Amino acid sequence: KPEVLSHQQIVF
Amino acid sequence: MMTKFVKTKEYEASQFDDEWVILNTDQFTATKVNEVGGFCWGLLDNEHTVDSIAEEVKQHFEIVEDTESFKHDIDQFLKELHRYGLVTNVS
Repeated sequence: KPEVLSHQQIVF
Repeated sequence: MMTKFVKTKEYEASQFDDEWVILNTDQFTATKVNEVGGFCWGLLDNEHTVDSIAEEVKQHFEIVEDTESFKHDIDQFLKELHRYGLVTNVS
């Protein structure tokens, strides 16, 4: 099953 | 007419074991997807419908899946990518 495991904002 | 999906942009994607990380360099986000998700992402260089992606995935992974629920999974996945700005609806 295609899944999004995580989604995060990148902070520089 | 069925909705088609395509990558918003050729964002960088890297594979780590069975997972893929897609970097959205416009919104500065990192989206991690599983192996099947990474395969779907690779297909989206070209326009695809949920049906056409489901067919490609089933062939590639030799899946014997109840078609409707499998399409539903892919539809949900694409909508999530769309929400994160990674794919765009076409037509």
